[in-house]
Amino acid sequence: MNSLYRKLAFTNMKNNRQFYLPYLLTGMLSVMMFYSMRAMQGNSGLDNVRGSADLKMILSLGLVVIGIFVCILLFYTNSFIMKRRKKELGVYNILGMEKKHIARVLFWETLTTFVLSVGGGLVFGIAFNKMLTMLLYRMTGLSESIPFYISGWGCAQTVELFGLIYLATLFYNFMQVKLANPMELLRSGNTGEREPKTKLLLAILGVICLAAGYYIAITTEDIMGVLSLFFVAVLLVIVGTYALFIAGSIAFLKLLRSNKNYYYQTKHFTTVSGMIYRMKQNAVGLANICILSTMVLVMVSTTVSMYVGVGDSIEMNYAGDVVVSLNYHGVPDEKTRSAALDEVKGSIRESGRVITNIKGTASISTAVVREGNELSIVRDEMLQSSEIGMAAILTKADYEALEETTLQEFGEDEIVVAASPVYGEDSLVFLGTEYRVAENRKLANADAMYSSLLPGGVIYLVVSDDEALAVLYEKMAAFYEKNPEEGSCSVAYEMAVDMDGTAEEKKDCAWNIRERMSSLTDSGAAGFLNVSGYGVRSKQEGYEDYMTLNGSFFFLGLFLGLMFLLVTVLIMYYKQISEGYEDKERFAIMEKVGMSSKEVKAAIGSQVRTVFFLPIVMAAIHLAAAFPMLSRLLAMLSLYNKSLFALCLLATLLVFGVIYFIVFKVTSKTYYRIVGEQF
Amino acid sequence: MAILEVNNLKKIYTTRFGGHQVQALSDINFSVEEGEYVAIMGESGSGKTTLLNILAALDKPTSGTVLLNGKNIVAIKEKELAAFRRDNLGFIFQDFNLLDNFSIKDNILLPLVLEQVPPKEMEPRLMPIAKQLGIGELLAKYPYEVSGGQKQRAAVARALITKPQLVLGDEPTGALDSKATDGLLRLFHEINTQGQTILMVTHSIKAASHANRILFIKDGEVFHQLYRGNLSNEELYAKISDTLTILTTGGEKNE
Repeated sequence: MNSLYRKLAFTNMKNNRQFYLPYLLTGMLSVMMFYSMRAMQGNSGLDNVRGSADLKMILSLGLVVIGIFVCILLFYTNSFIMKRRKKELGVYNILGMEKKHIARVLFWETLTTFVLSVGGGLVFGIAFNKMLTMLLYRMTGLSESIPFYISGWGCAQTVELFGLIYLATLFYNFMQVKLANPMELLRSGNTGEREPKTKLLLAILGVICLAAGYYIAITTEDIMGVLSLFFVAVLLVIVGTYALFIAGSIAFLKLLRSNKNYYYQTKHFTTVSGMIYRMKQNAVGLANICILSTMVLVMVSTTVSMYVGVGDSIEMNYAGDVVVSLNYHGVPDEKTRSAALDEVKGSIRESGRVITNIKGTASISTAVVREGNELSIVRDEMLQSSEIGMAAILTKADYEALEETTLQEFGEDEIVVAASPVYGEDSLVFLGTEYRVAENRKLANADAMYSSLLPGGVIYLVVSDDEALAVLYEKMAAFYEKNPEEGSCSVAYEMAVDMDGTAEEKKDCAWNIRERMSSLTDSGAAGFLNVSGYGVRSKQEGYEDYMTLNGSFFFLGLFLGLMFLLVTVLIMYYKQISEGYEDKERFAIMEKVGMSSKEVKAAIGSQVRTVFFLPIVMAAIHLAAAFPMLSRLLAMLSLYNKSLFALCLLATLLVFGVIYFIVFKVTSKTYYRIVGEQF
Repeated sequence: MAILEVNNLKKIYTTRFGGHQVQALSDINFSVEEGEYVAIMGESGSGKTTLLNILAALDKPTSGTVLLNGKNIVAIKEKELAAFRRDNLGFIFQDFNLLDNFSIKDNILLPLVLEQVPPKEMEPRLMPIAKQLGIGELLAKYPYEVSGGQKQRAAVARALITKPQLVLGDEPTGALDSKATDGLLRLFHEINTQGQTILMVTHSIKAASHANRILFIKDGEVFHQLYRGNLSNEELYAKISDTLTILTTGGEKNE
């Protein structure tokens, strides 16, 4: 008896292959992706690689996202198939099969689906795992050999997760059969379509949400705002998109319909009324596609531009191949500075490198709040203020060397202020002293970009000479003595060195300097007594860290992008099929009533095209609005190159558009086949 | 003057791989005068539907001619067919064939829209017909909101609004209850007396008994025809009934 059900299940799946083939394919791909991600994340070979902790964290983040999406995807597909198959199940019921017998057939179908999807997916997943890992290593710049390996845990977890998902779908199908009586099962699929109501309120809400989201994205400029409002904007846009697709589209179409001169024209008549019904059935699906496409585009374009822009970010953050900074209590005098410089130079020479450029700058940095022409050092209670900025105090000589410019002479009680936007006042009050501003300057590009990220911006206070700097330092030290809970201040002497040699040699050199500094400060050598701390940063190391981080983000972006694309394609495919069946009858009638097949074809074409390209056009608009906010977010991650990001965004959009178009062409073929070969 | 002339119409269906040949119509000849009300009867499989499809220019005959006002519709090019159908023929189907995404009004106006009639001329053409058919109140409703009889009257309005030469009905009462059937047949009679030529295919004796002339088709040929003469509907009903009995029991041709 059991073999009968099994046979029935196989025949059913074969007869419904139009639905089941994509379902199986989706299942397999999902399994493959989940397994690959899990296997990579659990790869013990990664453990002893620099930056592997970040990498693994990012991969497990991806794992969670994939897991959630796989659930949604398979559930969506399954419920779609069940909706289409209810009639068939109704026939079984009427032919005398009890519901428990139907349940058995469903059980065999689900089991077969499970075995094929998970089995096939794991086979491909294991086969492709090495390739994917190689890709990941390449992207992140890791150079480890990769043995072929099968993750036992990966397999087990995959089987477990997908077992649960398919079990849940089976349960859902049981409920569907159990809740319906045979007549309902038979009739479902051709219940009369009601005209959708105009939900004006929802439409207006949609417009408002979207406008608010766009407004936030375009106008929010400071870091704190971007960070705290980003998800608010995303949420608003998502809500707005759904509301607009669901209610706005219908309100708009009905408006078109009420214009008689527009509506009663051959071209518009069928299209407008057809679209009203299409939007009713597909609004949610289209909004899904729109949101997913936007996600894919944002993810891929941001990760790509971060990956491509690694070099720029590094240049921005590292003034030289190696940057050595020493913090002193008090302003280091000429002798102390040259002692530090000599040690660094010596260490580099010992490493066998040749210095091509070396620059030393002494400065005091502190967080400040500006009010009119007064700058105050930030206290704890002001941390909530959104006007916090950074002040860097340095001498005229150092400023000139740094910016490669010359300033006019100015006195001891005068300062030059460089800020972006330009400071503009005649005087500046700092720690109770009023200074006359000798000159207002604009910040150099790199600093200006950095400045735009801070709500209060970056402000350079240039004093006449070391003595003036020392006076200021004393004042600050006194401030901190009075307010010990606010920390302390120090003068940082930063030496940026460029040198020859390969990446490895530069990295080794940085290590040598680090050791030399460590022993010098520990032993309290001459000129190093007054040092409170030191730091040696290597551009090369920084580059590698960035590569691991951005590379794994990029990898994840591509991976998840692919996943979302898959979901999008699947939704489109099933949408085309279900629409095809619904439109078939409608167009047959139109032809009988006197529409030529050419007119019918044109009407179909324009509706199908509109429905298809609406989401991606909307996604492109979302992206345009999100661009300012996204580029600020990227700037926080040290990518300041806006035009690079714009380029990546456009390129991603183009590639996505091409893929989308291909999918459109292929799925419309299915649609036309269903609607009728005569068209 | 004959508005429709059918000569030596023949239709042979060939299965896809050319194996079997099925003769649906072997040799059909008849003509319809202007203002006539003709019913075509026959059993299932007698070729009624094939004949109607050819008359409606939805299908092509294997040989023979169909002259509508002297024009051979068999020879009309594919491209012009839709426009020809729209301008000259009105259709009424058994299952109404109303589009559920249009209101009743839009369903009726569909042929006019396809003909690109200016919107301001539509209303004056629609209202008298809607009033005559008793659906003036239903225009804003949707097909799923009205009864079968009302749907069919909307379909009649759609067929009449283009002022066609010939209205073709395919079992127009097939999906209606007896009350709605009576109403519809009365309407047919009414529009016929106003000069509209009607040709319908049916196997309902009652529907046929309202016509002025009944053609019987058997095995792809016109087997017999009855004229109303001075008979009442009831008398014609009895006569049709007798003819059908002979037809099914295999009586001689022409009694």
